[in-house]
Order: sequence, then structure tokens, then C-alpha cells
Amino acid sequence: MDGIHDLAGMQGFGRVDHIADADVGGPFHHDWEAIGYGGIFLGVEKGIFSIDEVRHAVERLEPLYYLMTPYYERYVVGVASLLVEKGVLTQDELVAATGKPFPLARPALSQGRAPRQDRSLFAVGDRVRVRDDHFAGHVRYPAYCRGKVGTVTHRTSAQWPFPDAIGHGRNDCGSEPTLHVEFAGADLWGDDTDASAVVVDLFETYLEPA
Amino acid sequence: MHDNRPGLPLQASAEERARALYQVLKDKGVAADGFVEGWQKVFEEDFSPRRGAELVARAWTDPDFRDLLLSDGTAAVGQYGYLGPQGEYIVALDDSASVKHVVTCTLCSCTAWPILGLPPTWYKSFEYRARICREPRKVLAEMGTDIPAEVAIKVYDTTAETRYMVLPVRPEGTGGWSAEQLAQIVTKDCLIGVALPKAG
Repeated sequence: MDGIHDLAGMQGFGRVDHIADADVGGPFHHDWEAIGYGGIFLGVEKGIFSIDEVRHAVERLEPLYYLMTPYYERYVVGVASLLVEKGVLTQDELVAATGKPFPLARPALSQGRAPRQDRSLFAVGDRVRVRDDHFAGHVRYPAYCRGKVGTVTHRTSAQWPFPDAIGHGRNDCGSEPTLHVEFAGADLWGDDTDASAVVVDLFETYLEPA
Repeated sequence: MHDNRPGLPLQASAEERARALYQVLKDKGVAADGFVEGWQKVFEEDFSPRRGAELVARAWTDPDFRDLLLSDGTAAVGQYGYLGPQGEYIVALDDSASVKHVVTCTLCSCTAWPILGLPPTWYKSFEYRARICREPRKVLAEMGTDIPAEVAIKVYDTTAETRYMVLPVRPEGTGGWSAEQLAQIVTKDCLIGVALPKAG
């Protein structure tokens, strides 16, 4: 999904609001902030949704709403959206509980997809290209590496369900390793970068031989 | 109290909506009393960069452990019992005199929670997510960490299930320090990769 969440490389943002090693306090600055993450564990433990579906729900927030909404609030709304979509609760119940509108994520643009059956298998040292893929559902490759060529530096010893499937609650998720693919900074952004290299952790289905 | 940010739909405050969501879940019997509070305690008390610092200090003082941490981070972290949610497949990134590693999650906020702690606000900011892959040297300099031009910067974007920690270079002036002393200078920002450990 080419959404606003895919921020990497976007220009015009100001300074990161932090000086290295400055005190940032605890993980939550208000107790309610734990409800978003707590809701993720509740949904996953009860088999209502996967954490991939939570990522996708947050990606489905209306773009302006996403940009104007602080981090933990996005997860509260993402979790609430999934619980409504899964029929665990209704938007009316949320509205009744606050007495005001309770905006949720927009509906998914896609039903998701299964991993490729014909994927190639890669090893450390292989040159690979990220498939020139465009898909309206959940994906776990950032757009900056789409179509780019890099070198495999690690093949995971574990395997996981394919995000484009499990992120939509599908059953045909398969299981595959991911590859750490190192791209030269200049191959991603030409002269307009000071990065030596960027390493992206990519599911095998996303890759093809270079 | 309501939220009237221009451009956003009328809605209750974030706190009111979050608490309403939790209350509805409890009223319907989906969430047990104390469910969120239990996780909050884990997030605040168990998941901590002190754990990552302990791993770094051990690696600096024990070559065999260092080799294990770099070749099978999951096994090394498992020895300490520090594997957990968002920290089940660990890879440690080996800084050297020629390479500095930095970790991000440009698509959301993925972090090795159990050994780094939950990510701080700045790591989840649009500024860091947008800029760190493309201009890491400038971003680090703005944060107070100058990386010499001859040192390459490699940014790791956390886009799948691997969770990273940076193994920084042990600074000069720490010869003979105990593991406990060494762990004190390994901060959360050192583990993310935006700071360098300082001996004094």
C-alpha cells in the first residue's frame, strides 16, 4: 500500500526532536497510552487478529488523520477499527461510550494475497532485485527499495507467515525466511544522500535474481 | 474535553477514546480486569535497555560471548532469558573503526523491545522515519553524534521479524573496567546506534 506511512526518503521534515542520550522518561507519558499496545496483545492472544493486521489497520488511517495523530493514539484507533471489523464490538458502542464521533481506519483496499509459489531461494552474497511490485494491500517493503538491486547479507534461520496474507487475516500465509539485503545509498537516492548503505529485511517473495 | 484539531473530525480526546475502548472491552467480557495494566508493568519494568547494556558489556569482556552474539544473537540473548515479544529473532550489528550502524523502522516503530525497551517518541517521529535512511550522517550530527567522514554509516530498516541491537565499539579509556562499569556507559541510544559510549 503506497500510503503516507511509507515515509522513508521523504524530504522536508525538520530536526529529530532529540539530543543523543537526553532523558526521555519511561515508555508511556500517560497511562492511557498503554491501552493501544495492551489491545494488540489482547487481540493476538484471543486470536481476533494478528499484529500484521494491526500494522495494516494503522496504515489504513485516512492520510491527513494519520499525519496529525500522535503515535499511541494511532494504535488505539487501529485496534478499535479491527475490533469493529471483526465484529467484537460496534462503532455505535464506542460512540455511546464517549458521546462523540469515534473515527476509525478506512476499509482495506485489497483482500491481500498469498506468497509466491515460485519464489527463488537466495543465499548470502547473492545479488537480488526487489520485484517491481505494486499492491494496494499490506506489504513490508518500503517503496524506496522497489526495483532496486542489493546484496544478501543474512538469510534468517527462522520462517514467518507472509505479511501480505496474514496482514489481511488470510489463511494462505505460507511461511518463508527473510533476507537482509544491503543497498548502496547511491543506488537508492543517487547523489542526494549521505548514507553509505541501507539494509532492508525482505521476505523472499519480494525478491528476484538480479 | 474534546479534540478540535483543525482538519480532523470531531472526536473525544485520545485519552477518552482509549479509556472508552478498554471499558467497552471489559463490559463485554473480552478484556479481563487488569489486562492492560499487567502489560503496562511488563513494558515499564521488564523491557529495558539495561538488558542490552548487559549484553554489550559481556561481549566487550568475553570474546566467546561476543562471537556468539554476532553469529547467533537469539542464542546469546536466550542465555540471559531476555527473549520476548518483539524480540524473538535477534541480530547484533558489529560497529568497527570503519562502519557505524544505526537502526530504524521507517514503516512504523519496530524495536527489540525486551532488550532495548519500548521505542522513545523521537524514534517513532516522522522526522526520524523519513530522514534517517537518506541522510543519517546529518541526522546524527544534529543529535550531537558526529561520525567521521571516513566511517561508513549503514542504516538497518526493521521491516520484518529481525530485531536489531548495535554492538558499539568499546571506547578508549575503559581498560580494566568491570562489566558492571561498562554497562553503565551503554545507553539506550547506543543500542539504537545514534550515540557512542563515552568513557568519561
